Amino acid sequence: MSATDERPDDGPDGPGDRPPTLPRSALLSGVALLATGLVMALAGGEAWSGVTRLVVDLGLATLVAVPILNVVGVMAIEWQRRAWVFALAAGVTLLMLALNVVWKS
Amino acid sequence: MLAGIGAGSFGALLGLGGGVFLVPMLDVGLGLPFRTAAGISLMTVVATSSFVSLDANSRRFVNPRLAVALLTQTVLGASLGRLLLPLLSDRVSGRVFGVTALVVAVVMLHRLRRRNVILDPQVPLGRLGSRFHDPDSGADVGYRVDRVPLAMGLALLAGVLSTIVGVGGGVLLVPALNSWCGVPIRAAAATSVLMIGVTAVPGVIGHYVDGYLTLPVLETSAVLGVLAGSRLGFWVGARSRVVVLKVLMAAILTAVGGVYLFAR
Repeated sequence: MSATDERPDDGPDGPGDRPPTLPRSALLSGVALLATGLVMALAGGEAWSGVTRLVVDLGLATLVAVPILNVVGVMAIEWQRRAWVFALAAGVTLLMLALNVVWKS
Repeated sequence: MLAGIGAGSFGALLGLGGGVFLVPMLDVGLGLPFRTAAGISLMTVVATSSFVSLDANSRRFVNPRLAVALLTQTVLGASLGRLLLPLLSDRVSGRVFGVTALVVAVVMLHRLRRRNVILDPQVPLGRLGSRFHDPDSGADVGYRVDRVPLAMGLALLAGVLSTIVGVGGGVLLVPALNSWCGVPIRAAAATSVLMIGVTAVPGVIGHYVDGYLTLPVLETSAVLGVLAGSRLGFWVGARSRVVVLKVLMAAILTAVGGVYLFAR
């Protein structure tokens, strides 16, 4: 096997310079929701506390989705490259995260 | 928010996520209960990871295969951490974290000049190795990942620590990958920052379900502050020398370890 064949990927080494659209949108949405929640918490006080909590929780949940979407992206890339071991590792990670969401929730 | 900006700057700069800085700031500085500080810190770790992992400069250094190989261990460890969480007191958690921080700082300083890069493009890099353009040497460099079982064991430990003490696990992963597994510090930091957000998810869910995330003003301020600080930290990181990053990291780890071992 030549040195070229031993390269870790058949394609580019990293995930590419351009960020994927979905995680980027989730990050921006999460930040917007958290900023809105902060303004509501500071301006609205107790009267808006229920709605504020909902907005903050939604912002936190959207933000938590970003790393999960990153793993989905890696799994998709490795699947396309037919690197089954790494695609499976990403899939196992997603499964464990899903179990964490279900557990005690 | 100021604590968040500081934590985010150092977190993005060193690939740690910022939890190692924010937990002492919230716990020791603001007097919050350790578990609340840990829960908020884990949220900021997710924020830093999300922001930096989408940054074009960071993505050049990320090794996605190494990340998913180790994520199976860190997420498993973080899930085990959720089981341990109710069994450990804040004091024990803090001591464990203090010891870990000091050990990692010593290892970091011991291997200060180690850069791990392979300049010869013909050298095989193995299944987990990778290549990137190294700003320090101005050349395209490669690296192999050595001692993979050790890396996996440490990833498991990093996951457990993540949930218990509210850090992303980068505090253990970055020095370990760099000093023991042959990964250059920039690649270790970028790969770690992708991983820590995922690793923090079980801990965030655990702290949320257990009722430790109930302070919307503090949570949003810390997360937004960390996001602002991440941009600053990454800008500084791209213009810093590797040795300076390592010394800075070791100094901060020593200070944090000292606080939790001797001042708490």
